[in-house]
Amino acid sequence: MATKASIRRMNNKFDKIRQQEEAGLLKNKKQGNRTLRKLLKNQLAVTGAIIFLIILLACIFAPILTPYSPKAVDMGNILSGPTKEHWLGTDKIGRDVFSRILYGGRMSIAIGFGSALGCALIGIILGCYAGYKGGIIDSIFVRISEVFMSIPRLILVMMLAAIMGQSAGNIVLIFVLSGWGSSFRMVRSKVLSIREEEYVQSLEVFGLSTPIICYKHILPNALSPTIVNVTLSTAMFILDEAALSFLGLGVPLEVPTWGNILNAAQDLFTLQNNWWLWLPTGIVVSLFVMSINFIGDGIRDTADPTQI
Amino acid sequence: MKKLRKGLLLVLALVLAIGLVACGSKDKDGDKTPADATTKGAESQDSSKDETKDTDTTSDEGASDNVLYANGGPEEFFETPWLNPGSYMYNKVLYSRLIWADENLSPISGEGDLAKSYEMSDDGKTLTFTLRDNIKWHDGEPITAEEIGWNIEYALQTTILNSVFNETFKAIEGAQVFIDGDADSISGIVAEGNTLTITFEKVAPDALLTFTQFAPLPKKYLENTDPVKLQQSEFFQSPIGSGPFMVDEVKMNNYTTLKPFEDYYGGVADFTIHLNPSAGDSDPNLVTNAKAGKLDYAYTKSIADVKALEGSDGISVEKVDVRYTRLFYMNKFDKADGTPSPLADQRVRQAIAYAINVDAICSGLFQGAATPANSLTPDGPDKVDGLNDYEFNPEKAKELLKEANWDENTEIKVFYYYTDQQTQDLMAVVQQYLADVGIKIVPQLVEGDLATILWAAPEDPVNGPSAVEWDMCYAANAALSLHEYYDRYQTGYAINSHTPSDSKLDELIAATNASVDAQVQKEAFFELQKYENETLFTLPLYYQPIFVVKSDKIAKGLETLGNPQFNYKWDIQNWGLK
Amino acid sequence: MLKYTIKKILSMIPMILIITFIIYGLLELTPGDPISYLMDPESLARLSDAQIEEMREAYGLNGPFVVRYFNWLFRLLQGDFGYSISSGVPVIDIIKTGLPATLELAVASLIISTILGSILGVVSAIYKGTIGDNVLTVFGMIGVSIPQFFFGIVAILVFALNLEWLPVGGRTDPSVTGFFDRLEYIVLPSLVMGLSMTAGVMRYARSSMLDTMNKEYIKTARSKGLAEWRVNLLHGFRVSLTPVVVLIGFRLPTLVAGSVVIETVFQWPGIGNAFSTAVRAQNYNLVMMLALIFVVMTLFASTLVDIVTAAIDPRVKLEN
Repeated sequence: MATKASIRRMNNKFDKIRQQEEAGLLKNKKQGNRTLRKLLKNQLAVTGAIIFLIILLACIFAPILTPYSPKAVDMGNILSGPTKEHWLGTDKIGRDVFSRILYGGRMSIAIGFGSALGCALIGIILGCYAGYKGGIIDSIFVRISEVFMSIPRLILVMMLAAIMGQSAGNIVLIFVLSGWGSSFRMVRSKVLSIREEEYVQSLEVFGLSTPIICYKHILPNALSPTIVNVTLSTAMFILDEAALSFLGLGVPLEVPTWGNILNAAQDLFTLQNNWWLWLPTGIVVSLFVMSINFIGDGIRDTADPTQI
Repeated sequence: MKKLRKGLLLVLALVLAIGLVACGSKDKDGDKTPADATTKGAESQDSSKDETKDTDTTSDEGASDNVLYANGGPEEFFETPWLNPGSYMYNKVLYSRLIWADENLSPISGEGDLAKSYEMSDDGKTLTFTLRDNIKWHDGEPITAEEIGWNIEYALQTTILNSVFNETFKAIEGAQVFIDGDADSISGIVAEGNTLTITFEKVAPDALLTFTQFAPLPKKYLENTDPVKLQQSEFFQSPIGSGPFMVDEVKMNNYTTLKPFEDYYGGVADFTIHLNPSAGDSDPNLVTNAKAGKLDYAYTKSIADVKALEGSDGISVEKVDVRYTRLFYMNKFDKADGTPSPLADQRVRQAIAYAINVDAICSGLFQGAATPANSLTPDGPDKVDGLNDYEFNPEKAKELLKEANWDENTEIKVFYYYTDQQTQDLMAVVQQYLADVGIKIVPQLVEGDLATILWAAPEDPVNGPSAVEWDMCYAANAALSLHEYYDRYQTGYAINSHTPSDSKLDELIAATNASVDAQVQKEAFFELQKYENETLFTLPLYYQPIFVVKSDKIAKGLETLGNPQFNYKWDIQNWGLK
Repeated sequence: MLKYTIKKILSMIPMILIITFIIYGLLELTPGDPISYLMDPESLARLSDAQIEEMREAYGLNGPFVVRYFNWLFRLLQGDFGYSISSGVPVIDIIKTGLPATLELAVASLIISTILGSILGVVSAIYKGTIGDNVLTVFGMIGVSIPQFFFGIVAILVFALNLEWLPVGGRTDPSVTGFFDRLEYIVLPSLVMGLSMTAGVMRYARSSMLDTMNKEYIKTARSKGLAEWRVNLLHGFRVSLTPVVVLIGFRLPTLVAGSVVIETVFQWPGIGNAFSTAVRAQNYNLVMMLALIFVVMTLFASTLVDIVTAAIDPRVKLEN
């Protein structure tokens, strides 16, 4: 009696462990802790994370931090320097610069992060499967990704913007369309080398289905470069958004984004006389991008210090 | 073995990568990469000479001391002088016109430019030019009256022709038959020796104005080109004109130099002109170039440029009032689905005029560089006194809206096509002002086939429905002649997408076109302006002046400033540089 | 191995066909047509339908787009690149003047970023974990963190207008005679572009150097009692830079296509500039030719990456 019950208990326990193992929970937890500890030792990454969080939170809680709408025009109070009411002054049509930076940040970060995440998702789903399965499916996806990667990004972006119309959503879509290829190839090449490893081969012997091997057993090991990639591409897309604004192809000008705010201040008179219109925004964008880069580099260093 | 393979591949990769670079840079010799140029430093001496169109480069000593720097240089081609006759510096100086205009663009009577004299008959239907004897093209060939007549015929076959020119030429006797292809030449143009006689079928109110701006081109280079592709002909890569300057060296999108034309009848300049490339009338590098001493003459509409140049050493900026009006077109046609236009009611249009504080916009957004408008016609002798200024009055606006039973849920679609920041800001401001009185507007930037999106005229010019989707359209009218402002509101006019037939309006516009007499025209315009002001069939917003930027290197010349976008007697060949 | 390489290179041909077809198709889908960019909307609206038809015919815009695509392709194969719709200039002439300018800028910034990035990367790897490492990393990161156009404009403001050290823009001037006169034109644009790429190179160089420093032979060299700097410089530096240099070569095509912003800010007469106006104006012949150049360069580079990865990582099987 007692033995039967204890065996059942033990079986249950093992089942649980197996479940967790299959879900990849145990490994992640352990690795996460170690990675986190290592990451915390990286001063730049920690500083980056702090700056990142400050800016991110400020943008998210913009309505609490500032009473002004970023679009509220006040023709009676234009181009005023920083005052108690307007911490960072007002722009050419009397809108509060501080609130524009915060709300603009929301949009810029959303565009950057959304695009990076979209690219990564497509890259993971397709890359993992194609890399593991190989064969025709693999070559088809590789070809498609090559097509997208070989079309100069600018041409793709310009044409898609013209065809679909300019809007924040379309910009994200365009960034994902033109950027998924590289994350796909990265995941795929990582999976390509992992699938030759013994543990994968033994899983195959056990007869596990392809999706399970792919997404449960191989993916977690191929994930770390993707995380790095998401952070670094977030930074890249934020800068791309700014570049598109400059070329007149970005988010419509009436939507405040960091790119649009900077672009509006690019004439020499403003540069020389109304520093509050560009300097704070410039600093915030650069700090934010830099901090993301440090976080990304930090994760990379901790995960795999020798990886190129 | 494996190591060897790896090494080999690395070498291969490098070679190919270098090959990529080399392939691209092979087919030219002057453009060295810094890397390989260091080894060939001596050779790069002549690097500035290649790709030169003309062989005689004048970049020797002395030339650089007497250079007038200007902007508007070609990026891909020289624009034909028949669309924007004087927008570009090169179009002003490379070509001569038949007669001169003064700085107010009024034709100067007596001696002309290519014409020694000219005469307009009293009924305004016969115009006779007598050409000078010693006029030549830049290639040394003489200019004949026959050639100038041919130019008019050729111009009518092109598709890009200034609308004032077009109206004038079409009024010539036999022009319509010629356009329809039923005649080989225009019967109303007769060239005899050095006289050219033009007979008009109906009065062309801007005939003289046209010939102060229309630049004849040498026939022999163009007679075998397709008029439809005039702009794309090789001629406009390095054009030959008859003006005081001729093309010297062209480096598209980099710089272009012009040198004095030795055979110019009016004197030979003692300086050359260097043009920095820039498109249209907006030069993004105007300020940087001017501050760096690379711009001696230019003009700009941008107040940001003017502000940035204020107080710069050796640079003066002068304001010139021109015929340039920014406005909202008001679409009064029924919508495609049959619902009446929200702007068909005169009171709504007036309410909009009262609700927008144009004064504040001009002094704030435009920093005083724009003047509030009460008519399409700019301030000056051409405008009648006593027009309603529609001073900012939100209460009055609300009252008018109430009278008109305005529905606050109505959305008014405002189209604009300028991509600059200022327009964007203006839209935000207007949106706010109108929201304050309960009018909701949706500004929308439109791109693509603007001709259809903005100006497609309805099939039925009386009852509509509208062929365009906008209610209001922010636009600019840059007019050479006052007729250009108003002709477009006539019933059934080619680009009238907004104003349904109005017999009173048609009558008033027709009156302005009935005579060549300046005084008669003026009276007719006065009546038209009053009607415009009362009904607001269009909503003028503000007048934008142009700023002429000039460095103190120009020691002599430019004493009286005219509209820099058009040609007037400015005697550039006699300017003195220091 | 050779078979693999040849196969890879041959497979570029269908790719080029597919991509050019897609680009042609996208151009076709773009609203409006080239005619609407040749003249202002008001003049265009004044034209009669017959006149517009005549223009479309004259510019070769009539006919189904598949037919036009193959026409373009066959003319291309015969060496006829066509004419720019906006200026009537042979496309080949535009490329002859623009491409060298763009390549010049790209190579210059590549050199700057390579030198700066390698030095920063290697030095920061040697001093890994110290304050010096952090300072260098922050420095290397500045260029990539500031929006490029803004960096450029501020650089012009400071170095060209306030300090008057360098010209505000352009590539050359009639008064320019010597090589050094020309050099000053490229300094600012290539520095701004180079600095924005430094961080990438630095990353590669740093991790590559860290990798090498852990290798056995470096440890051996060190244990033999060689001076620390010699070990680092002679062995570490040299070996670790090889992959860096290769990777940099691959960046060139991206650079050429990505120089639009810098070319615009610095009035640089390259193809990036021409390209962005051509796309807007739907200047088919010019867009297609420039795109072809970009695509061929990119494909070439990515094929190289494939071959090199295959050679370096034996775990990737060569035969499918």
